[in-house]
Amino acid sequence: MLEIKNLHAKIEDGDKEILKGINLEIKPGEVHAIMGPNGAGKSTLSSVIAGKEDYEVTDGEILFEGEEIGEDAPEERAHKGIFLSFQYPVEIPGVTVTNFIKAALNETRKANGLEEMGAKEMLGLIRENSEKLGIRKDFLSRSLNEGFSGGEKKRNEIFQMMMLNPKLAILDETDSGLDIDALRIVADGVNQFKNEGNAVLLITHYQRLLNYIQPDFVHVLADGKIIKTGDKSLALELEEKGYDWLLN
Amino acid sequence: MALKEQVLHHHNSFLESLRHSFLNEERKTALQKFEAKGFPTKKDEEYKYTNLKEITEKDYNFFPSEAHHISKEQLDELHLGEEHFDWIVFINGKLHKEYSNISIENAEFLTLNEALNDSAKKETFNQYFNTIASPDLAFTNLNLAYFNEGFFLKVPKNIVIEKPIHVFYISDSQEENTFYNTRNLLIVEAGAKVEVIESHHNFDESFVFTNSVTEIFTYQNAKADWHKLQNDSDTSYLVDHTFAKQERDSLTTVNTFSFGGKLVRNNLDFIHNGENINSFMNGITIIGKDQLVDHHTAVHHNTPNCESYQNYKGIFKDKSHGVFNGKVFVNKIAQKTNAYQQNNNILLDEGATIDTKPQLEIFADDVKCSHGCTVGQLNEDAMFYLRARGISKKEARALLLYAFANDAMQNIDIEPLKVKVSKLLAEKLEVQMEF
Repeated sequence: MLEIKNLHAKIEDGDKEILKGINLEIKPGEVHAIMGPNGAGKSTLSSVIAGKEDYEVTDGEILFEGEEIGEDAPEERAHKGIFLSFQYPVEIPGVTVTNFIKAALNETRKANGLEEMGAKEMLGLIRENSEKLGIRKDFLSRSLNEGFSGGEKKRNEIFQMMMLNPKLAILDETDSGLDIDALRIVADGVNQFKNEGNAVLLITHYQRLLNYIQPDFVHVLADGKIIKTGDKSLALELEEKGYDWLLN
Repeated sequence: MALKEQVLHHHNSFLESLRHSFLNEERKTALQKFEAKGFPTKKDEEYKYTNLKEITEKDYNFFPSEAHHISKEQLDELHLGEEHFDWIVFINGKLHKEYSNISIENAEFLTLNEALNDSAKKETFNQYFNTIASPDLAFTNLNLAYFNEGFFLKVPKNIVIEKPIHVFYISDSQEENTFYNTRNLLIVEAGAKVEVIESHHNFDESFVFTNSVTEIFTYQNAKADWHKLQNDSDTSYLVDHTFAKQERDSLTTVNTFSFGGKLVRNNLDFIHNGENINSFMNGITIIGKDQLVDHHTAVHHNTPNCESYQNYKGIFKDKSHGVFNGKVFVNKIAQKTNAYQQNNNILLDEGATIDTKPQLEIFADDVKCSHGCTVGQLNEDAMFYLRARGISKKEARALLLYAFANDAMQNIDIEPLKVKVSKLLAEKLEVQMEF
């Protein structure tokens, strides 16, 4: 589904290379976790996959379903089925959660040659997904992320993911700032979303989330490169030993 | 001929054209005052950023022809939803009762001609008319010298007018540039409540210059909301001066939504004359091309324990130009004043400019006055967030700008007006979306 080959990237106006030759392959049905110390380039990697224009790819390629997407605008990548859950979701006063998700979903449908979803069907889907995540009705008529607690923001990200039903969901530090209950709800959402046809890429600093979402592969990213790949036991090892033993 | 000369030249004919001489002496004095000062120029501190030359160097017809081609359908398009409003329509300077619809019964309409024919109304008119409009300004004097009809309403004690009243000033089928002096007077007695929407519409290619003066009186526990919906054509100039005088425990709001017009100058004066007064001023400006919208506000905190809130948002495209000057005067007896002022602007293109200038003059020592102004561009991280959800660049921009402008819309309680403002916002940002 996603193939990253020798990916190098830097901040658009800077000289400093942040990603220094990443290789990663994610197949349908797989859950991958990328872990690593602060400043390793984890968030840069997720932003580059989603197409953030602040970064410039200097070498290598990103293939999604066999197609090079490096030149695509962020919305085009979203239309192809890439979803990024943000570490810091943006507050949009005056635009309700419901209206926002309607706009996002219908833009994606239009781009894929589908009719806009009717109000009734949309409402049904909203109800179904919000119930799965234990989201209250009044939450949906609130302004997007405005005054949301950290947990509410993340839950809202997962809700949007379920509504948009992407092929690849990248969850950037979705676990940060969550208490155990919120973490469990978010993880439940991801587990319900996951199936044989889609894939999940978890970006995380801590092993904690991986107790709830079982990864097939764990990669360690340090200084812009993947320095080790293993199965879920690697995460436990990292939890116990930290990153230093890998860096030296 | 410059407009000043035209103004002086036509006044006698104007007075002769009136069917009454009710205010002739006042009008003549006003004209003399206007003559002495002339139009303000860029040397005038108050007009430092706004050049009026393009208005004052054109030729105008002072006597618009009455004939028009406004159809019911055209009017329908201007309506915000007939079932929710009463409305009054002026076309080419004349009241058109056949197009108007006023269902309220227990309030007094004081059209000038009615006031002249009814001694009780005449007394009311004299008691309020031109008592708070500044006697020293060029445009207010010009208005007094030349105004003809206008919207005059007195809401008696404890009467709540349920339906907002939409006042339309329409200009149509004028071959030449046309000059209008519109005048409004609103008196809201103790415990009464009313909302007014005012809009100006030029249907011609020729220019219209409207010089409008409004006086609003709000008494104890009364509430007056005045919404200016400015979305006129590219051949329209508007200079507006609204004066609002408030008595104790009253609440007055003036919202100004500026989307159109070639050059719009909004002057707003709030005068406090009692304790526990609340004044709200909100503005949303979205303009492009070479449009100019200038907001000059002044709140006169003359009495203790009063609050004023100003919240102006500006979005400027192309080579448009915005001006904001917000004055707050706190008299030395006006202790415990709470005055808040905020002016935030986003410049979308390199050629767009904003001049913003808060001006606080505080003579009392126990007050809370805050002001802030910002000029910025759109947040790129926020843009990326929306685009990563599949929303196109243009629409993402519109959503963020809507969010930016939104808190200046918070206290519109007329739902169809809110919808209209949102629609105009989408239109100005060239997107088809509902927010």
